[in-house]
Amino acid sequence: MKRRKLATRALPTVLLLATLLASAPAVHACGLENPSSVNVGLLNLAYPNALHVRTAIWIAQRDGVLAPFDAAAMVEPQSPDFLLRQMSLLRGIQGQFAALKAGMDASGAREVPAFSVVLLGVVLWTRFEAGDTGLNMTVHAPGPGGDDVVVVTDAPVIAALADGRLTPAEARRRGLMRTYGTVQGVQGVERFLDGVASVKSAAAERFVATMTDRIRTD
Amino acid sequence: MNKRRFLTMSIAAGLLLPAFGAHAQDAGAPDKAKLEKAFPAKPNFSPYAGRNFPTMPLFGDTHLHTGFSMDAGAFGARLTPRDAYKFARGEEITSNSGQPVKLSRPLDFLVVADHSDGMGFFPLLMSGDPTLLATPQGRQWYDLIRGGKGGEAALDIIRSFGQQKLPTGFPLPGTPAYRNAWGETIKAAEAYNEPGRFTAFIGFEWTSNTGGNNLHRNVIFRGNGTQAALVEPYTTLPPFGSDNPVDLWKYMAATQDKTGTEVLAIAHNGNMSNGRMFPMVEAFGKKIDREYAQNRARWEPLYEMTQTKGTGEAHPFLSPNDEFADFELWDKGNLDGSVPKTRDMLEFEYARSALKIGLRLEDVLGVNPYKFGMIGSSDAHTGLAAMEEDNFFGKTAPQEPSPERMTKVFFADPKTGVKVMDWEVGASGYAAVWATENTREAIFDAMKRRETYATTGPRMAVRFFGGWDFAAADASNRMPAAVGYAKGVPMGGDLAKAPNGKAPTFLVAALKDAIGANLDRIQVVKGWVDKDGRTQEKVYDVVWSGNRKPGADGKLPPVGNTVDVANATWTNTIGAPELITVWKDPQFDPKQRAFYYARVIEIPTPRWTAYDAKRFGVKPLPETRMVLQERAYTAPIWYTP
Amino acid sequence: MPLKSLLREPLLHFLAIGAALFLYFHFSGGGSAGPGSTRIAIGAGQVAHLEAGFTRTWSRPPTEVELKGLIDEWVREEIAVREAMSAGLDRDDTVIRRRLRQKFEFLVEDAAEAIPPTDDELKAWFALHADEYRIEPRLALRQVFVSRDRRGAAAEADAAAILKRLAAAGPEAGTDILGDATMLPADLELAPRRDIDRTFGTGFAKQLDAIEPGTWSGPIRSGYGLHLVLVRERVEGGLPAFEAVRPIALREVVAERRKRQLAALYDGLLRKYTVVLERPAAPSVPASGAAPGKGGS
Repeated sequence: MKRRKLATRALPTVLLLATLLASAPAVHACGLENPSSVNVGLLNLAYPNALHVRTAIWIAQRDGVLAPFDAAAMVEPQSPDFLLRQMSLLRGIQGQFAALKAGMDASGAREVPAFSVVLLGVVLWTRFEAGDTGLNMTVHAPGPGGDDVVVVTDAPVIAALADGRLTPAEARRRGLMRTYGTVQGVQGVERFLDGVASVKSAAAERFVATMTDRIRTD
Repeated sequence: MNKRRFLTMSIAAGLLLPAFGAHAQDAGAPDKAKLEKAFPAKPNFSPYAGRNFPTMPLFGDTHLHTGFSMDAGAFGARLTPRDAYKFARGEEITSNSGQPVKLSRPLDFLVVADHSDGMGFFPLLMSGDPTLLATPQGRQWYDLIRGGKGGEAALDIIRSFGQQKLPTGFPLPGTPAYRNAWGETIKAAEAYNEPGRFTAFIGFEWTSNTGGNNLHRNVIFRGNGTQAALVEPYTTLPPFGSDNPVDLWKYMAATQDKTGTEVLAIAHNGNMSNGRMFPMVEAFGKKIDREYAQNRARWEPLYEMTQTKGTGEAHPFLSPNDEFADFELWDKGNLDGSVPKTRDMLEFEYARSALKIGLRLEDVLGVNPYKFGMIGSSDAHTGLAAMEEDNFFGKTAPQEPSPERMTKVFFADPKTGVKVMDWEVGASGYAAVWATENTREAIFDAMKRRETYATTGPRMAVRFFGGWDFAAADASNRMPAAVGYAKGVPMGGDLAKAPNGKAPTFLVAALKDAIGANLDRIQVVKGWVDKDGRTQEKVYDVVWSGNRKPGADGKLPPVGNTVDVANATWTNTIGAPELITVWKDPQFDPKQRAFYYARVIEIPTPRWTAYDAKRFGVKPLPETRMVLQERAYTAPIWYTP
Repeated sequence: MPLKSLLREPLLHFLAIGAALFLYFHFSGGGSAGPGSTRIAIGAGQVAHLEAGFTRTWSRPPTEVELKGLIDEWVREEIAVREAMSAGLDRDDTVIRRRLRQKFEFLVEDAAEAIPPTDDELKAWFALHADEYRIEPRLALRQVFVSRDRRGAAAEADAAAILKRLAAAGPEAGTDILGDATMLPADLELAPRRDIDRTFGTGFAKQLDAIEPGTWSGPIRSGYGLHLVLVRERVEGGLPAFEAVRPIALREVVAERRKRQLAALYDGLLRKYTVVLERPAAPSVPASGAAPGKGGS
């Protein structure tokens, strides 16, 4: 008797659940619930062959052009310390972008069309727009600006660029960076990036210039 | 010429030829005319000329997705059906991640089976289709995707699909967009179909998935593009479609009427159906009755039991005495991990168990609904049917070779705790078919009569014949296939009403993959219904390499292991290249229904994870499997009292 | 059927392209009527094009109702494009521009497919490309298998002995009691290299190149063991018959035609445009005069 009563009470909930489940979409496949893979996957459709950058990266890692692949550095959304690791990763990347920006400023960034850099792994957007005193950089941009040229790359490449181990021209040549946009925009950004000295040498030159100035004023 | 006479002739020839041979050194070559005079019934000198039984197995994939499938596109696949056929035929192409890729040997046939729901959607949207982009929904998805928020877009698309609130321009049956996608699928198959050399089948996948429980089927057309173009694929949402297999079968019957050609359906991934793949009592609110059984048996002559999402022949819980049952299992939950697995589900998910249930239902209903042959296929969502361990291109575009796939998570449901890693994806499998020639018709017909077997990747040649009169000497016959077809039925066939006092005998043979690993053993798996109406099963080792002897526990010792994991190599110094034997059922009861199928097991070889670890220098996670014993499973032969 | 022969007319073919191009240029940005125009004209060529597309897919021409549906769809698309363009959706949107280009090119490509190539065209293509489809040489062979697995170290010596007996017995030697039983065929009808390799393993056929037809030779090695082989017949490769290559020729000629027509179209159109490459101002040079890119370390 008691069991029967429970059943009747549970019935509405069961029915609700059943309808919810029954209306669950039929177009699933496993893994679709893992948004990060889908973010990257669909980026490959929006920016055709963006996924080739991933292959270019592991080839460059194998060849010593980039630091070797570090499995421990992968940050999985399901891991318990995800948030902490993600934050520290992003902080590091931010610092690298800042170094890069300095290098790019040194190369004169007055006419470069606005461009947004997206990192495949974390799908992080960083926007660059030419300003009066150099480039204006927006970290954690929500997406590419309407007319922006899009540069697809990934964290290991930014790290190498920031360290001065790689120039943007070299990165492009090896397929570690791919550019998307209007013909004019792409040309403008690529020409600009190709002209950017390696961060290390740009920093070194700035140091030399500062020293030279100091010597002159002494 | 009847079989018996042929046999007498062959034996006579066999007995007399030594006489010729012995004289040959003195008398010179035996005169061909003399020979033919002596044995006038012998039709040709060449034993294979004039034979009408299949002499070579054909290998293919019946389950491949390209960028036309919504989920494949969502994961970044850009390869098209044409690319898929080119690759399967043996050409080198560039993968979705920019790597050159080529099969070690061409496949013989391929079915590009893209999901019927939303076919062609992402290529359409991302190429800037004006109709879609003119709608706010379409524009929003497009912008989200360009902004790197594809995951959010995908979830919204799925939700909209489920609620049937889709924008104009979305490919639904009857719309121009859908017609174009199906039309292109058909055109690709027609362009690459080359009878005698490579068969490109037209097909699609019907993706019934309610509640996350997998009931998917691949539908294959026997005919050509003109016929297939007279219909559109069946989807899963009303009003055009349904998630109930019964409705799929109705569609198939109507399709045959409308097109004038035949279709068949192949289900897969019972292991992710959470107990719904092989129902015994009821399905979708209706009792399993004779009509269900007839339709199921008629429309689904095969079952895909090994693929990237696990192998579903047997499970250790169901078969605790089978030391090979624990193989590439995916038994954590349903397809999206939303409901974890419970033990009571397993019985209705695995092939061997299903075959047993089928026997019982035949007792009750008079028809066996689960009377299927076995095949393997890939279910790759990359357009690449690349399932060799040393040439594995993953299940999705992000799983194409890169150091990441050794340690990445494939999918995880935080609520239920169901988690599957990239390394758990299997480099499996292929379908092997004994067809008389490489054409759509011949391969389809072989599938319908179930003369097929599954492999987990390698291309062993496996023969399995059942009859009442096979004798040990048949195993030494120079033409085992001829004897097999003459004295018995091939895999997929039936034996009935045992002659008085006789037990079924089986001629089983396996030849290793020409460029692959040696064989460990061949087993015969028997399932039957006992006198109490309960199903039983037993696995027999029937022939094996070397001179191992079964131990006191009746188990044959393992064959050994030559795998050097660190270097991802192995040697063929153990095992045998070829095994053949005649086996008789030692515990036969002519009053009990039974099935028998052969399982062929290779010696241990490196798994794709070992090749990856070596090539990328990545350390695998502690629980990663690095070695496996590849295998083949034949279609059963059924005995009916 | 008059419509069918009409569709075969090359003139209609060009009219269709012309009409479509005219429509495109007339109604697109390009200085003329532009997105603001609310007049949509559908020419006979466009209608024929829609009909041809339907017929190709469904193997029959559309009914009145269906044709109206097709035209409605086309009009919708035209409206959508114009509205989208006047809303500025196409400006600098690479993907939309790419899609417009695609559409533009589809017109040409569709026309290329609408009229099937003539036999003469196919034969001309075949004459140029036959070599790529050269039939492989084929071999018919007999083989006797000597199993290393069963005989171990004695296999080599056994193979040599068997070879002697076979050589003495000649090409018609009975092989039923020689060597070891195997699932591998004792006899192979004329087969190309790839079929031989799929049966015996990659590289097996190559080893047979050196063998004289008519004499037992070996042992040839495979992944299975040793084989004593008699090449019964070797048929040199040759050019395939035209009929055999026809479907491939059809596929390729249509693809080539598409490419050529597209190239010709662009060449023609290019004459209409003036292309000027604007060079940006030179980047400013650092005060120190040091050349960029020269690393210090």
